[in-house]
Amino acid sequence: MSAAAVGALLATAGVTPAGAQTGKAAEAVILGQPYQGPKVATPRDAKGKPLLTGYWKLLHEDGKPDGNLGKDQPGFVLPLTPAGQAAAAANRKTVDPEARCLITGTPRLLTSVLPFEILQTPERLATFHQLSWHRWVWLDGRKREPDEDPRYLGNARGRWEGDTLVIESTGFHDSEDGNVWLDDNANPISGDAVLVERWSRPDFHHLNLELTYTDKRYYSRPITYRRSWVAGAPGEHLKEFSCEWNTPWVVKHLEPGPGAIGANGNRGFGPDNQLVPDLPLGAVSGNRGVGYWLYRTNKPKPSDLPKKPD
Amino acid sequence: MQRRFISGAAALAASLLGAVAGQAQPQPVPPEVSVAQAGVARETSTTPAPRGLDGKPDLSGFWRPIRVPGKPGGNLGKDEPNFVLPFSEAGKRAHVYAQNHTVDPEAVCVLGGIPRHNGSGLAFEVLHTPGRLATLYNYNTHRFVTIDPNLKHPATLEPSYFGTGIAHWEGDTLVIETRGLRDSSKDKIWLDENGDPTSDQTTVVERWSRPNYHTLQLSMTVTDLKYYTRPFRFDRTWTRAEPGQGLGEYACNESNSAVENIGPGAGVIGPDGNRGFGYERKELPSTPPGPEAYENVLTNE
Repeated sequence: MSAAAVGALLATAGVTPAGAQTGKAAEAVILGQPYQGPKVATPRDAKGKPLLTGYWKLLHEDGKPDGNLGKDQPGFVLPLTPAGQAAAAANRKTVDPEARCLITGTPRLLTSVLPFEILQTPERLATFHQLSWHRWVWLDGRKREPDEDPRYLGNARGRWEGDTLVIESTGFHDSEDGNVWLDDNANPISGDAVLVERWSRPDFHHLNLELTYTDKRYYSRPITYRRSWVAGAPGEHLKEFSCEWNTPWVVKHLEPGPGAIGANGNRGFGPDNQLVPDLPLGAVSGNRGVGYWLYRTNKPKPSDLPKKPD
Repeated sequence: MQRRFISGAAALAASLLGAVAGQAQPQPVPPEVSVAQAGVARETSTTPAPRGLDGKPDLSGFWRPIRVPGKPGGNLGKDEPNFVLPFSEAGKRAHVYAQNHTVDPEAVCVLGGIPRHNGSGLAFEVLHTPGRLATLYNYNTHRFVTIDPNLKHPATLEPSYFGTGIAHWEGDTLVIETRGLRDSSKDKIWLDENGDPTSDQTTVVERWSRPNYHTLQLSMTVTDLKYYTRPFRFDRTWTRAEPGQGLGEYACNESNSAVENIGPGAGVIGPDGNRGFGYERKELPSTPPGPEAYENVLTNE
C-alpha cells in the first residue's frame, strides 16, 4: 500500500489507543535506516547461493513516491497506451481492491512502503506481506505452463544468474475484471503482463530489486523500477494482520479510485503528507482491520460506519 | 474469475478421472489443483528426511493428511470418547454461543487459526528455515513460528488468530508452543471445523517430526482449562505430496458480498464426529458446482 494509503482510522474516530504511533514515530518503526555497521557477508545455502531470507525494511528515497510503479519515470507517470488510459479510468471508478481485502498482487506488493519478509528453501521461496498475503515462487527449474491459471500474484518461476535471483511471473488477472491494480495509484495491469524481478543481496544487511514490467496492452514500453531494503533488527518479524472488514458497507460505499495523484506522484494523501501509515496498521480492533486506510479529508471513512448495512 | 473457476473445476474433474481410469495412461498431475486429495501412508519409507543448514530435519514440503477410517476429520476430539471434547461448564456455554452466533470464520475468509488448521482435511505447505518457519494454508493464509531456544513468551500478548508461536528442538523433534490466541466467546475463532470453542487461555504445544522423507508427524497437546476440564491430545500424520506440487492461489474474498447470507455454526455434528452438510446429511458433490450454483447468491446483493 502506498505511503498515502494511510491508516488514520483511529485518528479520525478520535480514539488513540495505547501504543498508537503516527508521523515520525511510525516512520521510525516502518522505514529502514541506512546501515552504518561493519559489512557482514551474504548468508548462503548448501549450494553456495545467496539466501534472501529475512525481514526487510524499505530504504525510502526522499522525493520519490512509494506505491507508484512510475517512481523512476519522468514526472512519476507511466507510459499508458490508449487502452491503458481507458483501463486506468475504469480502475478509478472501482473501490481499491485492497480495501475489499482481495489479494494484493504483484507488482503492487513490491511498491509498498511497509516491511516484508522472505523465507527461502531450496525449491520454494515465499515473500510475505502485510494484510497476510504471501506470494509463492518455484525454484525447481520449471518452465512456463502453456495453460496457466490467471492469478493476482502471477505464476512465478525463479532462477539464478550468478548471485542474482531472477523471478519471472506471467499469467496475471487483468484490471478489466475490476479486482486488481498494478500499484496503489490505480494504474492498470493486463493479462499479458510479464514481470521480471532481479533480486540481489550483496551483503547481509542489504536487499536490492531491479524490476522490469512489460505489458504491451496497457503500456507503450517496458517499465523499470529499482528499490533497496535493509535488514530488520534481530528478532523483528512480520506480524499477523487480519483483513476482515470486507463488509457490504466497504464494498458498496467507499469512494472509488485512489484519490487525486499529486505532482509528487503520491496518491490522495492527507494534510500531514506522511510517508507511512499510522500504527497499529489500519486498526479497527487490535490487529484486525480493513485495507482501506486512505487518509483523505471530507471523504467517508470506515470510522463513519452506519449502524447497519442497508 | 469465471475463467479460473472453470479451469480449476475441469482440472479437478480430470484428476478424478485419472484416479479411476488413468492408471494405464498416466497423465501429468496438475500441480496445484488437488489440495483436497488425501495422502497415502508411507511410514515405512527408508528415504531419509532432508536436513537443513543447521543439521536438523527440514520440515519443508507440501503435505497431504492421511485419513483414518472411522475417525472424523476436522474434529480435535477425534481420539476422545464419542469424539466429544471434555467441555467445562463455561466451555459448553461457549460452544452454544459459537454454534448460534458465529459464522464459520473460514467461510468469511478470516484467518483459520491454530490449532484448527492442524485438523484440516486439506493439504498444507511448510517453509522451514533454521530461525523461522511458516505453515501455509489453502485459503491464502499463513502462520509464522520463530525457532529460538532462548525465546520465551512475554507475560502479555496481543491476541491473534494464529497466536504467538515459539519453537525449540528436542532432538529431531520441533516443539512449537503457541499462546496469545483469540477467544471464541468474543472473536471469530473456532478450535476446529466443528465449531468447538477455544479461549484466550489456550496453550497449544505441537511436536513435529519427519521420520523419513515422505512422512510428517504431529503430536499436539491443547490445554485450555477455561473451556475444557483437562488437556487433550491430537495426533496426526501427513504424507509428502509428489514433487512439483504445491499450494497455489485462493482468492477467498472475491464473493464477500455474500457473507451476510451465511448462517452461524458448524451445522449438525453426527455420531461419527463429523460436521454435517445439511440436515439430511447430503454428501458433498464429487466435483465443485459451476458458477450457476452461485447465481442467486451473487445477484442477491
